[in-house]
Amino acid sequence: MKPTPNQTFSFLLLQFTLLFTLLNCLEVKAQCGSPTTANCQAVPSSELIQSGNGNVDFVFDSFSKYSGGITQSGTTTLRLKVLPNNASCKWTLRVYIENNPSSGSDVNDWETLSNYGTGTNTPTLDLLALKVYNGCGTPINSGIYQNFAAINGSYIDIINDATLIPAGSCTTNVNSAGSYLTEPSEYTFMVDYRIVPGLNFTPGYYQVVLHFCLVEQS
Amino acid sequence: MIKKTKLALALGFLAISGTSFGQLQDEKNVTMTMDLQPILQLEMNTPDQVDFVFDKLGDYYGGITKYGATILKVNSTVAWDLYAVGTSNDGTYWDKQMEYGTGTDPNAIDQLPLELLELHQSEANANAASGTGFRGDYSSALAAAPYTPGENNIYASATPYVLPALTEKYIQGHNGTADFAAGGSYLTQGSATNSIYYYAIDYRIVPGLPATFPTAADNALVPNQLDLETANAVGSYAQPGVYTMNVKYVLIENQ
Repeated sequence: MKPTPNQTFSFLLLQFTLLFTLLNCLEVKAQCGSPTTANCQAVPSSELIQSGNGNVDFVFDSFSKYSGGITQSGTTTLRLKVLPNNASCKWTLRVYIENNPSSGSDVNDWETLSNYGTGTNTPTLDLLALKVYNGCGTPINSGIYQNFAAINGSYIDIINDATLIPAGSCTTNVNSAGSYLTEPSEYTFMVDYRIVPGLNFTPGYYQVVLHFCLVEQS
Repeated sequence: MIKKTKLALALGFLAISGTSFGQLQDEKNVTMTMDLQPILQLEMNTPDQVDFVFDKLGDYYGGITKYGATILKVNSTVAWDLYAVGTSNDGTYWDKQMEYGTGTDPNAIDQLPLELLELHQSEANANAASGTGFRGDYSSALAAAPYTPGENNIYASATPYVLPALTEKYIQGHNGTADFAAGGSYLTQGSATNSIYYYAIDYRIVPGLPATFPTAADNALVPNQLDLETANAVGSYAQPGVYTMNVKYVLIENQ
């Protein structure tokens, strides 16, 4: 039997509703926030390229590592290419920390994958520090280790969109359209990681995920 | 009219959808894992064998003390307890390696209690609230005569890896989940003269003359004296010879 126009429209509406629900879910999960303007071109014309291992493992198996910490230098490299729609194109680069709360992780702690023993003193999210730098020192706190706040979803701004700083300035917070191909010292970011656990936390195997977000926001 | 409204609504959805895809937003992820492996490390500097040779009258009367014969250093990432245990083949008496002479005097006793060995630890046990024995640790000074039996006598057992009872001495921590030392290291916490992660251990044996070992006792709330006359008969004394025992230092995660 051929569907009536009303049935066809209802079906169409249902499909759009499902599509929007899916998009909303993806955005919430990604944590990157929604852009409010469209002065820059979208992916794939613009893009954030990550190189380096997607898994960074810290293994603490000696007292000196517990006490002195472990630093992993240059583990992640980010390269940006941002093409403009107009001269107002500016962007933010931000990194969020996430502990997979759906697994039951406390909002302040790393996600526990495995416990060695019976302790309950789970490592807190503020243990993880990262340092971002590049040739021109464009990150807001270039070359300085920064710790996340001990709460799921906290973030560190690498570049913000407070004021438009044009490419080629080779100064702090360059955030205009540009590319690592033409301004490698401004649109390439090296990331070092460091953890100094000390001796207060329960031995175990823990995990967090870092989300590096390139977003046009205004 | 209704058809136009529906069409406009549908196009509206498409327009919103198109705008969402047309803006700059990109994300890359890195997974960080942290493997905190437990470390429980006891470093011990000591001669392989600590010899007490009693060949002078003064040694029998005053005993022999070996100061700082053992140095213990703790590294731990977990809460821990540390105890010393004297043991031997039977876990009660020193092992007799050889006897001097062939005397058959029934008062010559070759069963010397392990508890005749006294220990002194340089730093007191700060975590022994649950202890119910005469002393919770070995921190009392090795006093001169008149002796207080039970003050510094070593805990003895045939099962050295079974956690000592509440009535026994520990160097740090005790038999109770609330009695433990927190994770730490002698390298970073306290100085060598003030750290629960660093111990200088002194040993003393006082045979007395005749050799009855007047300091020997267990750690009961009212210590039971184990000197040879009390344990055997008046007039008993130690059979001359070579005797050995083993002292173990056990560092264990808080139980």
